[in-house]
Amino acid sequence: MTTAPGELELIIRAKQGDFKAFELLYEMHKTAIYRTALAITGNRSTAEEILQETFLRAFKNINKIYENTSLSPWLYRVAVNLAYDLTAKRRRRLTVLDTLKGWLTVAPLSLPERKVEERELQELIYEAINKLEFRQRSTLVLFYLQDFSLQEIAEIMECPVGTVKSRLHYARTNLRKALLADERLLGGLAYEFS
Amino acid sequence: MNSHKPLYEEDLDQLLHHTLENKFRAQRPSNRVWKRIKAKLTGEKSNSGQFFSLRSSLIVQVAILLLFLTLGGVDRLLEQKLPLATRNMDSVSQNNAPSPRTVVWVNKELTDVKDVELPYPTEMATLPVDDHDDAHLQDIQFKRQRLSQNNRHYEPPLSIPPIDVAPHIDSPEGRALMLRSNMQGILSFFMGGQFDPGIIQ
Repeated sequence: MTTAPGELELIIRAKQGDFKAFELLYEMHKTAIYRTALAITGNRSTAEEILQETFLRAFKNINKIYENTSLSPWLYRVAVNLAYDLTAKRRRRLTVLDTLKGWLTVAPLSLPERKVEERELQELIYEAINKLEFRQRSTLVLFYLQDFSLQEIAEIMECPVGTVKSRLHYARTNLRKALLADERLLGGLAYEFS
Repeated sequence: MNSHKPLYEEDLDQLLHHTLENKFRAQRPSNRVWKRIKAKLTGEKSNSGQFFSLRSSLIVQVAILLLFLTLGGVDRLLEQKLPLATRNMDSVSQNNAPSPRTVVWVNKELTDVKDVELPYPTEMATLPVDDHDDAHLQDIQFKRQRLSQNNRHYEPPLSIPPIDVAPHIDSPEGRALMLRSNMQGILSFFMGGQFDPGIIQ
């Protein structure tokens, strides 16, 4: 990942103690990091907590970040690791269905019926994604939501590219199995996947 | 759900992409996240500022202390070099000081002490003499011994002197003799006169 224009200057300024430069770096990356954390954890408050902690760590370790590389891989790596820790803690008391309930209730009822059906379908698919094992889910989110390449994901997750490929493959396979087994999708999708 | 459009296996990638994109496209973090970050970071900064101010305060205190110590050393040096001040008269050596003198008037030839006329009353020149000074010391020593014995519960070993003079009946020796005599009587009574008094010593 190459450094975005302007990011290099901001990193240098932030290293020199320019707090405004650090704020601009936050503005530059906050949405992507937040969306990734939200997609992995499925919880808004957890995602915000991850975003906050990621940038607090970035501020403390700003001098360790190389100026010739982008800040993104470092930020995503921290965010994914934090998501893993927080998800493991909260999964004990927060079921996936509870989380999805919040998503389903925000669906606007005024949309046309087709849109609503598509939305319901997406919710069911996301529910299946959320049931994946953490590493597979994280890889899937980075690949499909953030459009990172396999090499970039390998860099973020600190693993070989082959491992990323393997995780993506098993993520897709497990998703198919989950969707096939979902009674709510019977008749609509099941025969198409088989 | 049966009205969903068919989804082919090759469309799974697209489906996943759309699902995640549609779900999270509009999601943005609230402004309170940055406020919390800023609050934490500025809090740490102010704490470090407090630390620095504390450190500078300590440096100032140490400097003042060193200054006082230095001035104290200079003061002592000056005391040794300069003439003695009034406040240091106690430490002055009195070897060269003149002995106290009493001026007396002699009007005639001295044949007796009384011939010396003192400038103050005679009784002031006479030290009181205590004839029982020694007795006083002995009394103190005796009291001290008694006190020591009482505190330690010390009892001297009981010994019956093998002399013909009978001890006083109230003395420990007298009471021991009486006890021995009684025991001899009792044992002689029970043993029919075959008792050897030498076994009780």
